[in-house]
Amino acid sequence: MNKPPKPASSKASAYVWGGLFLLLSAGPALFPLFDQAAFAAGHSVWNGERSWPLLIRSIGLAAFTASAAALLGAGLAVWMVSGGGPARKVARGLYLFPLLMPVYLSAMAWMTVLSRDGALSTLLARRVGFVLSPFGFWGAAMVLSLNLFPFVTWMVIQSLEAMDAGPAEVWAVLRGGPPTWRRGIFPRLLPTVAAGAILVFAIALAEYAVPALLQFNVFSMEIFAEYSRSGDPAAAAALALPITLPAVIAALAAASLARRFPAKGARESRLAEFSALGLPLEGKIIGLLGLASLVLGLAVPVVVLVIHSLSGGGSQAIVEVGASLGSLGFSFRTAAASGLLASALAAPVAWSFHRSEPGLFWAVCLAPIAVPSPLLGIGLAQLSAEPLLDWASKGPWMLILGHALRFLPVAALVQADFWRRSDPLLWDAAVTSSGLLRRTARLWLPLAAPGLVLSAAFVSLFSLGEIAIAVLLCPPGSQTVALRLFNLLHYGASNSVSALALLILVAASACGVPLWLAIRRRMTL
Amino acid sequence: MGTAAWKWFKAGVPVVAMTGFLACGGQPRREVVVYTSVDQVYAEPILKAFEKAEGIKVLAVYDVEAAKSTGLANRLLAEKKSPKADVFWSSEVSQTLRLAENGVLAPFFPPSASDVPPEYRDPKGFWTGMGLRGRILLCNSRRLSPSRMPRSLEALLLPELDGADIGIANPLFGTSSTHMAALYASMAPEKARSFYKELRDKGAKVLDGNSVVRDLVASGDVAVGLTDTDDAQVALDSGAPVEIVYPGDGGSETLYVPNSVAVVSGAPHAEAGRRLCDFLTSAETERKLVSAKFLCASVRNAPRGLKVSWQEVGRNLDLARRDATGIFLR
Repeated sequence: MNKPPKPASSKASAYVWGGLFLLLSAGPALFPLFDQAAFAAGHSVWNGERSWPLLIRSIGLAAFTASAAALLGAGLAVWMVSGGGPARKVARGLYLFPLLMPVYLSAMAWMTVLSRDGALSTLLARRVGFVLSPFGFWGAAMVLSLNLFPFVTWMVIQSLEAMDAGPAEVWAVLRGGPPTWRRGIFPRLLPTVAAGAILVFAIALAEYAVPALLQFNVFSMEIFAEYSRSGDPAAAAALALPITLPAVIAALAAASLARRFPAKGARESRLAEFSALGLPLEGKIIGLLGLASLVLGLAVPVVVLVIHSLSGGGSQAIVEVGASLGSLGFSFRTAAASGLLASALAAPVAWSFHRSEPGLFWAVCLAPIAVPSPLLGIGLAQLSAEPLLDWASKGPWMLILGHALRFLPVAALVQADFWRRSDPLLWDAAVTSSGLLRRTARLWLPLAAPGLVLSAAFVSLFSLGEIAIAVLLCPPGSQTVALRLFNLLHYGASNSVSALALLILVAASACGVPLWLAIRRRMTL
Repeated sequence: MGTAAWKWFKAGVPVVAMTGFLACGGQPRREVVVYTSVDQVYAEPILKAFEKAEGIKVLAVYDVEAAKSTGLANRLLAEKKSPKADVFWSSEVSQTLRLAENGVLAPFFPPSASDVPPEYRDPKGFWTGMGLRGRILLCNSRRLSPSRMPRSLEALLLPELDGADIGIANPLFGTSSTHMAALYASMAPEKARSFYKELRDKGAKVLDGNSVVRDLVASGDVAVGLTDTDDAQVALDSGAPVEIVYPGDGGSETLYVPNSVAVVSGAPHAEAGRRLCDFLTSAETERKLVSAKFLCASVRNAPRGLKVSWQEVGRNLDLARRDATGIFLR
């Protein structure tokens, strides 16, 4: 079907909303730049001899992670839709779970199993005579890839659902299973896979905790080191520009790719049609690699957490869980509020860009992801010190705002994807019917509701595990469960930490899974 | 579709309202706000004891090691124009020195700390030391026999010890950074710089914090690590095969880092802040934290160790961190 027309006014409104979106999601992080001689400060701390190699290492790690995530993510998606059976059903239900696991905890779990006397090291040493090290480039790349590849899987699944010509039609033309995939489907998935990889690239580029834990120095460490040394957010913000730039370039590349996405699909999902096609050998191989990654990415952290929780009889873990219920409640309340706020803020930009400039939308969304979280937190902390916003610092409002802004791009991407798969005839009705209020209440909101709720849920789940902003904006006397968990981590209470991490996962799943199932049904996925 | 989706929206409205309501919290009348980098498990009982003794509600914000020292100290700097905290209780001293230099702290001489020796107090009253944590060598007793355990920092450079068997926390952050600055202050900076360069050239593992050093020594992934006494105590309590070595002959090279307590300049609850500061620096609080094994000694009865002037350490912090960046961040 054809896309709806793009009047000049809708383009203009997209640019206005896009500008506001960038201002909201990245502006607070850049706030310190307006306050001081930031560029001079940034220039003075830039050390070419050291900074360039670090920047190249960062880009190398992010590029490898993105490539691995593309391969594994696409493989898993293709495998999941190419047949039936309980294994695929379970995989479809679980594939987003690695995104729920704080990546720092995953890294610690891998350090545990690959430590000198760890279970996997012992097994490998006994069976194959060598041990793997979790440290260095490969360890960092492995942990990041295993945690982030579901982003690609998710995007590929959406793309497969939205294909305008169904597999049965392609099948009819190409008259065979594997050729249908090779010549009919894989080439059309490439823009989506590349865009997913770019999203992973932008996230991995700004990542600090995992490379630091696994002893691989990256450019983000330069920013943290400068920040810790001088406490000057202007210098740190200026230093962040070199990693923001590659992310923006990547985003522009994604923007051009996004023009080739399947724009929309039938209301009925065509996923079932793929299961009738025979997957070619290369598809089976990368599919099984993707499946193995999902199993490893989930099983290793969860098993380590369960074993640690139960160590010493588990009594200490039970006590800690009991003591953390207040933090858990506070976390869920603020995370829910952040999700709803982000969803509301992202709605205009997702809607207006979807109608007029879907390509540019990617650039707008991805650029803020490369801004390190602490800079956003510091910018908001400085803003809250302004007399006008003094009231906001007395409650959880700045924390809610901080998480909402940090994950605003996620909310916008989820909503845009939802719009992409909705029926254009309904958009036309929403745009052309008379009366703004009536149009919004009777047409736009009912159309957008599942996308709004889904994006709020995504942002809430990400907010639950976030610490860099929480430590800067959490109101006195309250504590998020992630902060409590990381505080215990330093104390070495591994069974309490594990029990708490499991509790977060279970609670998030308990809220997220029914919601996800309801929305899937509602969206006829 | 429209009707069902409309229900979604209608269901969302009360959720928003409820979330807003639940997220709001009332403010008690008598309260004090403390930002602390001391582990919650140790700090919380002390703050509760203050609440009970003084009838003042304590609202605490705790730091996390994973924030890489960019947490509470930088929050205090960002809030300088309109402070939200009354007291800063740090588990070490370097961030406090930086805050004092930046005009974030107010002078206060806690009456209960009048018996604290001058070397553990700021002469202008910007901070007061409380309790000590030592920088020690934690050795895995399965990897190293007692005779092979290094007894000084310089022994880490001996060829008998493989570089990959040594772990140190990244000197860009935390007490590891303070330790580097203290070595700059106590010996010539060139000599200290050369020590760290040799460690790097030897291939020592630069880890993501003292707790990671502890964990890797406990698991045997490294044979010896430079860490803090409270971290080492956790490994000992868990039954790990580790031993603590106090560097230097009889511990003469051991750096003892004080906790530091300070009142924030322009604190919204200044009087309550001063009372909490007085409470935290008292001998009784110090005794409790020594009993809990968070502190290894009292500032009032400091063990023999590396002699440093904390003012001098403060002056060397910037140089040491710049050097640490150059040496280890590449």
